[in-house]
Amino acid sequence: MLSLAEIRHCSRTYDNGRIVALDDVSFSVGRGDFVAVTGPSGSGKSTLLDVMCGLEEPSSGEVLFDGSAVRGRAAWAKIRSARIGFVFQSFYLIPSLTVAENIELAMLWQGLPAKARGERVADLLERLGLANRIDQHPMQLSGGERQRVAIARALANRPELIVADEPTGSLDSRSSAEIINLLEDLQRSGAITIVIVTHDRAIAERCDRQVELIDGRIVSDIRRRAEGGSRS
Amino acid sequence: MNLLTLPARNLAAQKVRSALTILGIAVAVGSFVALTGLTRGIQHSYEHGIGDVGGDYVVSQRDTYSLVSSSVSQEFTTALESVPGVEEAAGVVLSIAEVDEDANIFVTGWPDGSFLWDSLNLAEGVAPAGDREVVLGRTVAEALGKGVGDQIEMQYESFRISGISVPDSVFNQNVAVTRLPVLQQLLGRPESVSLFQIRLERPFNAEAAEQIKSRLAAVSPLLEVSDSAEFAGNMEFVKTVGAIASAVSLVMILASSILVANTLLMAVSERGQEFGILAAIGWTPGKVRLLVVVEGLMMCIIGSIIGIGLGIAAMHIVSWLRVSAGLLEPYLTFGIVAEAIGWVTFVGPLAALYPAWRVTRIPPSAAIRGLR
Repeated sequence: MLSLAEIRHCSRTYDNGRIVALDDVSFSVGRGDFVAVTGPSGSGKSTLLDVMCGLEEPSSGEVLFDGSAVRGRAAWAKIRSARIGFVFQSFYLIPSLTVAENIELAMLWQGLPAKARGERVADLLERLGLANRIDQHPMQLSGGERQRVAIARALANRPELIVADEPTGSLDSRSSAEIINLLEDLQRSGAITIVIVTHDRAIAERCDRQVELIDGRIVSDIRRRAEGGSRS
Repeated sequence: MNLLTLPARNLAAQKVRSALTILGIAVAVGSFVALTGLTRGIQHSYEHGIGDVGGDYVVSQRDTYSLVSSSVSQEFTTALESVPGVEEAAGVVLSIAEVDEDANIFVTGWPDGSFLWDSLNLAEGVAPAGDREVVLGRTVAEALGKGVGDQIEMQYESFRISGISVPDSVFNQNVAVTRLPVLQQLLGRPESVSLFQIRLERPFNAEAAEQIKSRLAAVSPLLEVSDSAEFAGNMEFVKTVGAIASAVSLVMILASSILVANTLLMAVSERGQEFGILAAIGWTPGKVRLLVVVEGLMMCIIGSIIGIGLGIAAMHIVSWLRVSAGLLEPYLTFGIVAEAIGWVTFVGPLAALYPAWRVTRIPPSAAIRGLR
């Protein structure tokens, strides 16, 4: 099966090679996968995701998206814009913009008319139970609500891949469960590929595949269910 | 939501800093408008003032520095009037005189019986007849608070105001007119005039006028013949003032661009994470840079609009000041406004380029996590 995202023999070093975040890692994600990337702090989990999505250039190695090697920030930006959605631990919503504007920001360069963008925002907020928060600012929302807005923003351009870096790291257990359920539903219903970086073993257990990193190397890659997320 | 939403919110979020930068731009644009407007006002005022008195050509000292520094012997009158096609050559003295010890106004002396007196449109009183009589233009009379029959001190001598005139040109509304011999005696320049106003015989066509102009120029190499617009434009004084005004204005606009660059540098340093987020959600480096440039451009446009208002106000305040009554005329054209906005909207985005480049120099992953 063709990989959606793949890195081949990638390393990422800092401080003239003295710090090694990724050490000759090869890793691929198939369409419809639901993958958890686990490991202790500083093991290179976030760097792996950053390199895989072009937020960071590898020091060596090759990165492919949908079978093609991608190089350069502009090329990666175009891929992220249309095909990858991000969810971060700290939400990273822009405080001066409303909930609707934060989501619309991702669609601004997609060539969609303002009316269509507005309809899509309303639809996403309805699906995520935030319809009554549309004109509020992020500071007026709870942590769980902010993360749902971030997920709505990630879904705005109907991506094929969602990358979530510790999406429940700043949330209480109830909100965490809601967010994971939401991501799981998205993966099941929409054939979206999801990669989650997490410390939480319970969350990792719910994924089809668990990849563990230690000191910038993949030490285990366990697949529980078939590729493409088919479950019994 | 559109491309302007985020820059507008960011400017609003840092109200004091944005306001101070916009004020700096406004002062620069205001200075440009006021200095350029007043300088061009001088030229415009001279052009209309000289052309408003019924003359067809002006004969002045070659390469004269200013309207008042031109000096030509009155003896040229005969030679100029002997040129075929010339009806009359009226020698005129123009000077700036101190009035009542606290204001400076233009004063001009016209020869008795010349065609120039026909252009004197009197609202009140009569033309000067005696040795110490003067007609004031309405604007300067109002500025000095004087009316017909009042006395004014001009060059430490007392003059009676015999009439108030309402000429068409702003320049002449700000001029005091007296008889030529009186002004020559007052200024201690007998047999010398500033220039000659030449009136051609009627009717004449453009071709004939050009031929007469050439013949007038041939009278003496010391003389320069021009129409009123050429005369005002050729004066070295006008050129010098124009050059100084342009230099000062451009320096101020360049200084304001540094202000824009500094403000944007601070803004982008504080909002590195925001730009990282934009990169993560698919904004290309070019689009992120465009956002910064738009933010700079917005400050420049707002500053320009305020600056144009400030400039117009400054021009009027300066021209209303008693000390400059009659010397400076507010003059605003679409061209001056467009020039001011053009400069600012050119240098503003240029100043934004460096902060914009800095924004996209940092890898998105580092920007998102607040790393440098």
